[in-house]
Amino acid sequence: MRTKIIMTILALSAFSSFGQTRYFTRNGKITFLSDAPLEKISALNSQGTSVFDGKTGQFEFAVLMKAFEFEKALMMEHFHENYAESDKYPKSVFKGTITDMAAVNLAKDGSYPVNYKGTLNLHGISNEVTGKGTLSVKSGKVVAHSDFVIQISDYKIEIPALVKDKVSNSVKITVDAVYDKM
Amino acid sequence: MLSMKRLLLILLLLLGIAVAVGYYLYNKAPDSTQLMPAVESLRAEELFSRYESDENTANADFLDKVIVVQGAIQAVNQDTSGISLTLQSNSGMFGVVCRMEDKMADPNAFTVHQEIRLKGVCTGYLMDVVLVRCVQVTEDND
Repeated sequence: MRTKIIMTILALSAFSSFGQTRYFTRNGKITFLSDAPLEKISALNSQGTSVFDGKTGQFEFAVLMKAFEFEKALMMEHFHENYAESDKYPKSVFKGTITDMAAVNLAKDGSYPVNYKGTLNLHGISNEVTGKGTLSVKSGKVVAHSDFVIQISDYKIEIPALVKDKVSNSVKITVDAVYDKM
Repeated sequence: MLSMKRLLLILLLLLGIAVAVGYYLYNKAPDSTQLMPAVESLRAEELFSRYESDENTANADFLDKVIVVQGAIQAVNQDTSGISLTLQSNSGMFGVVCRMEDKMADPNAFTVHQEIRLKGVCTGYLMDVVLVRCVQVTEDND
């Protein structure tokens, strides 16, 4: 994984003109929310690592599953052992591209709506994801925000019938990242 | 012999206790790392190096375990959800990122180059090794 991410950085460097448009964060935030009839389950991971090329719009976001923090110990245990199987699948990676990067001027402060598409690998399964988000530019930093919904059954995560009112198959993923120039 | 009324009261009491215990366990927050014993204590440079050289073996040794890591602070990051400290490794850009358990911790209590000991739960390795729910270890609470 480390090699892949470093290769991504190198690849993004090659695409960029003298590396002037590469951005990086190791404090990207991923939250997920399962809003089932009987219970809301949410967790936050504040240590997502992401690289982003401001010229091509290519990006990669990686998180460690065990770094998701829960309010309740039992929820955390069930998440890792029964659903995410975090020992077997310790990482999740989203590789994608902002498809309308040409409309974004990273040299000018402002907020830019963007569209993206990419592949989310979770629980060892990869699926295509498309979505909308915003890139905000302020004082040289780029702030990315987006949310999208996945069906966890698409990632071969099964919900036992006994808890189907407590765990939703639809999970909302929210991404917030403040990128620094590399 | 117990009267039926007294037996019902005892059963209700036991049921109440069972419900209360179940409710407590269901809603219990994760234990503070402060209260958990560490399985190993090592320097940030060594932890990073062991992950860099063999991630699978390092995961077998450290993943999901409480460890104490000591090192020099390379960066302090504060955001709306808390503080993380990056401890230096020998790699230059990457190191050991420690997410602090106390979300209200004062970021001014930490300075770059400060030597520090932190206890936290190891969650694995991306470009940095990442620990969460970290607490500072001092002589008083070691």
